[in-house]
Amino acid sequence: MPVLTPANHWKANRVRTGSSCVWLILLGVLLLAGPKPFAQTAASVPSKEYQIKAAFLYNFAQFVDWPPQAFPGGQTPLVIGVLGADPFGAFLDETVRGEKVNNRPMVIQRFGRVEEIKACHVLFISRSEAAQLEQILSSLKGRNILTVGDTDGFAQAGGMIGLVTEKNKTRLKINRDAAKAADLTLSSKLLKPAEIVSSEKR
Amino acid sequence: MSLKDLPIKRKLMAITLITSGVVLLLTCSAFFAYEFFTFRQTTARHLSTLGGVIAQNSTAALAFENRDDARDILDSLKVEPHIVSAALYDKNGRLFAQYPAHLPAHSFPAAPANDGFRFEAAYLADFQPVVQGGNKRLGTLYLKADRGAIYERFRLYATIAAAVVVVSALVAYFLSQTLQKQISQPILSLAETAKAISQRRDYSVRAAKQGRDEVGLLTDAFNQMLTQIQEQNQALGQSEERFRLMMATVKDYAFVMLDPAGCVVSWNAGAERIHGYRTDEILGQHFSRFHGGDEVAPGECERILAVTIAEGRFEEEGWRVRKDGTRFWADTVLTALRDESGQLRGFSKVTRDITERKSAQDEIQKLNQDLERRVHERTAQLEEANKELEAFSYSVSHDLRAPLRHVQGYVELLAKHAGDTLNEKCRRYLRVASESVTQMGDLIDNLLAFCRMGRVEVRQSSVDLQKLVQETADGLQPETGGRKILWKHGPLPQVQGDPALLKQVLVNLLSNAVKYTRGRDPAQIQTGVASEVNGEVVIFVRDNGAGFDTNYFDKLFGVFQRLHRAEEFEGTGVGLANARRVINRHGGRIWAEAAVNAGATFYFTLTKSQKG
Repeated sequence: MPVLTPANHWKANRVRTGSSCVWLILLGVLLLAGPKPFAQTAASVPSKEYQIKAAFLYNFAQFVDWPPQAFPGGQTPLVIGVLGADPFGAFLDETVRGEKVNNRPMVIQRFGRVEEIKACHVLFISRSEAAQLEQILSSLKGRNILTVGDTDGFAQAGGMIGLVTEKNKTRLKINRDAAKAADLTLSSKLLKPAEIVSSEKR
Repeated sequence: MSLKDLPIKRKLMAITLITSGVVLLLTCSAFFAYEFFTFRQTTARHLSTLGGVIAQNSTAALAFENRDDARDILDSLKVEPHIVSAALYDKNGRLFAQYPAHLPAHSFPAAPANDGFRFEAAYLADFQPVVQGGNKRLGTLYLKADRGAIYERFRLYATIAAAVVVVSALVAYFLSQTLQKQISQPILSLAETAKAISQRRDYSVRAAKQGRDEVGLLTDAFNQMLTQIQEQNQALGQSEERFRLMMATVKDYAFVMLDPAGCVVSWNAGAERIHGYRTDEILGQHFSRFHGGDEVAPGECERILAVTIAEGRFEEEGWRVRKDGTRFWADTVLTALRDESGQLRGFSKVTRDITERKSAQDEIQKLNQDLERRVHERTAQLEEANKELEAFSYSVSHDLRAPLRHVQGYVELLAKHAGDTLNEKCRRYLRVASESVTQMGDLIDNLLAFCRMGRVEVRQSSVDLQKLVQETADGLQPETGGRKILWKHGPLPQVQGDPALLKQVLVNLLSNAVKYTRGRDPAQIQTGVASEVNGEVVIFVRDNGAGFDTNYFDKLFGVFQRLHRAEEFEGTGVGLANARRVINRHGGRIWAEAAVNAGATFYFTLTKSQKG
């Protein structure tokens, strides 16, 4: 990983803000995402807890390395998916708008069912899907998707990163085996503030 | 003791030590200066690297808002004692975590400043972005380091430098102690030789040459000089020997050398003969002994030396006393002897015994004085006699006039009362008697005038002699009535004298000329200047008259002396005596040249007036 010096950072910023074609691409992507979820989420404002979790979703992308086959093209966008009822509303879209991770644009996609998921890199599995969690996770087995969820015992159930709230703070529980199985490399830095757990056989 | 007076060994060592010390100090100073300027950069780089590591480690803590984790990461700075404080700010610029934990929040900047370093008074502050990969900024890391590191480092360097200086000084000391011998050894040996020579005065010693460098050249030159000194000493010794022999053999002169205080240091045979002391008796004695000890005025010998020192030479004649107490008249010459720098080394004293010459001179002087005294006595006696004679003459002349007037008066009365009764013969007797009385009156008058001349004061003034001669000749007109006389006057100068007295001289000489040319036709009378030497003019009065026999020349100017009979030429015989007296009183002379019947020339001298 290249060390980003302040000077480089500033230069990268300028290139990003100065490049209008990137904006056009982003606009196109947003339009492709369809007017329905956009209109649906615009009105609702998520709780403070989900604002933090939205930021976490974005940040996870920075600490995880996907295998090359996850990104067929150099400009293939990094897709953050939400499965089930979306608790973030428009906030998640605002969080990632105009942002890039490892020089890739970011895209939010919302899925009703697991079968709908085609290209996806980070998948937030909503609490609404708690009942089918085991089934969802097993269906995603073998795909290079970082699964994140805030249902109780998410990581122990085979999810990769579980978001738990302790003393009013959001903490991470990480299942390294699950991530390894998905051929994802988690940065050691990510592990540091997290609690490592492993799958519980039921 | 200054560096100048140090022995050359120490001087060389001092120079080596000072040089190496200064070079070392300069090097250390340069090193310190370099360190001082580069250490800021080094410190900044160090802090930057440290900050980079911390920032990288704290990305996850910031990304997932784990303050405990962030604190743990910051706490790891404990190992770096110069980090005073550190803080993490989140992406919104809020203080997220701090180190050390106990510091109050206001000890940290309220918000992160621009990225980069800033040097504060005693601290170095650094703001670094916290970024994961090339992505969005997660927050800012703040680090604050004190500059104690610099001072700590400088303390270390100072210790090392001090150790280096001490070790170098020791090494330089031992090295220079060995190496300075290369230079100092030949010089020291040369100096040692020179010292030995100057102490023993043995100029046959030679210094050993140790190399062909400048010291070698110096040694050669030194040896050459020694050779020259030796030769000169030899020549000097020979010359001195000759001189000493000469001095020793001279017997008529006493050659004595005195030291600056006046004590005898050398004595020759002449001195022994003249002063009577043997050499061994007189050496070291003060020269006042020759002046007779007690007899000499106090301070006289000191005065003699002082004059000799001041003027270089002193000469006098005076009495000296021999050893046996007898005196002799000595001619002494003292000369001050000085060396090249003018320092007084002593005196040379040359004395001659000139007692014989002195007594001969004294004898001559005595005789001269005697003679002079006798002349004075005689002159005084003569003057006395002369005055008495004059007084006598005057009173006689004066007393003679009274009876003569009686005779005159009675002769005239007799001629008046009895003239008619007397016969022709008697009347002639009376007439001759009257004429004789008149002549005698003239004689007495002239004699009185002559006597007065001895007393009258001469009033000096400038006299126009030409005019005076003309007046005098004009005044003689009555006596020359009817005669043919050819006068020729001058030219005549202005002279110094009393006009009344000079007129008497001219009246006398010119009337004589008129008188003695009686019978000449024409008579010739001429006046003029015969010669002039040093302001003294010789005036002449010449006639073609009767002249006189020069055999009787000495009688010509005597009183009552006459060369002609009264029947032939009348006269009293006082005129020329008077003239001579006047001229003498003017400081001049008078004389005459003549031949019988061939005329006479009278000469007299006068001082020419300075105005004319």
